[in-house]
Amino acid sequence: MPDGPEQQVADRLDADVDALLAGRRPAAAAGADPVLAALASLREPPAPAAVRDAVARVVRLPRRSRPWRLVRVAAALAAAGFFSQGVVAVFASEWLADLLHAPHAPHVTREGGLAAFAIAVLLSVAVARPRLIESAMVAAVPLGVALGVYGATEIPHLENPAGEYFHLSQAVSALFLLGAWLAARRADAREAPGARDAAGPRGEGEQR
Amino acid sequence: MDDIWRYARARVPDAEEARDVTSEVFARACRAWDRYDPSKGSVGAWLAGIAHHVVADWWRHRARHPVTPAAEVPEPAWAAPDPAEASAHRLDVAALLHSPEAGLSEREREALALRFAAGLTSAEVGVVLGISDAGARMVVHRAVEKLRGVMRHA
Repeated sequence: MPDGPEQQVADRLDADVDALLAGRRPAAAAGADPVLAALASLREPPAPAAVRDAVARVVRLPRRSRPWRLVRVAAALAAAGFFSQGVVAVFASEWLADLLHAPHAPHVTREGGLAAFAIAVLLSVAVARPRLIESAMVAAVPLGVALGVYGATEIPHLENPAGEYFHLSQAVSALFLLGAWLAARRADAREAPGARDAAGPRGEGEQR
Repeated sequence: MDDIWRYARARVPDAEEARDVTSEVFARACRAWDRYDPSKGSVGAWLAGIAHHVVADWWRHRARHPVTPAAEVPEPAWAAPDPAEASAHRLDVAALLHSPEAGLSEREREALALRFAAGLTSAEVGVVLGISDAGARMVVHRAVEKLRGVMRHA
């Protein structure tokens, strides 16, 4: 149990330190107490650029926040689209050709289907491990957009453009994934510990 | 970040080691971010708690792997290679905290570094050290008194 009088002295010192660190009492006035003035100098200077760079390299938030859940949903939708494309192309290429009133080219169609399966697998892995999302997006987003652009140009020329509308949906899905990813990255930049701590130990608006 | 770095600089003798300690604090903070509870304190206090453990780990590692005399850098242990750290006064204080003459206990050094370098309140210092608010104020007070004794006799 601390002594009463000593605790009172300690409490008064604490109030002096509060005032000094909050700038309510100039450091010069603390010249009457050189020890406090010296200790207050520990508040100088700000972290050098090398420290900021070192921290920036390690700050990576876990991707389980709400923005990243949306990214995972978008990746799952895109995966479903490519998986569907793969299933039809590999196992029902003749039916697809009949549906589209297009020539049947099983070899090319099935190879394209296998590529679509590969993209679907990449996206599915990224849904389970969000840190791999960029690796999947490098392949899935450009391909999804390209399929949509190509499909759009084919619509006027096909008797049954159902497949092209499907490709358009893949482009929308790819762009949705891209947008969700950009939003999640922006949210991370706002929420990273270093960013929140930039205002000081008590943060913005906190009162002592 | 500045507060964590200042705390690390006050507790670790080398500027580059303090930089590594600071980045380790934020790396651990990112891994533990889901466990941060704003109702239990500010982000700064939470980070200071992590920094307290990182510094403790650093000293334990140094105790297990001491620097041999041949590997010692020729400059004083608390010298600042970074020109931005031109405040000799600040460096003297950091060195004083760890000097045998000051006679500070590990808890007192820690309390001063958290209170002044990291800028925590006494209540927050108490949480990090696992003691009461009044206890934290008492530790700081006694540490300051010891430093006053050293400066009187300097």
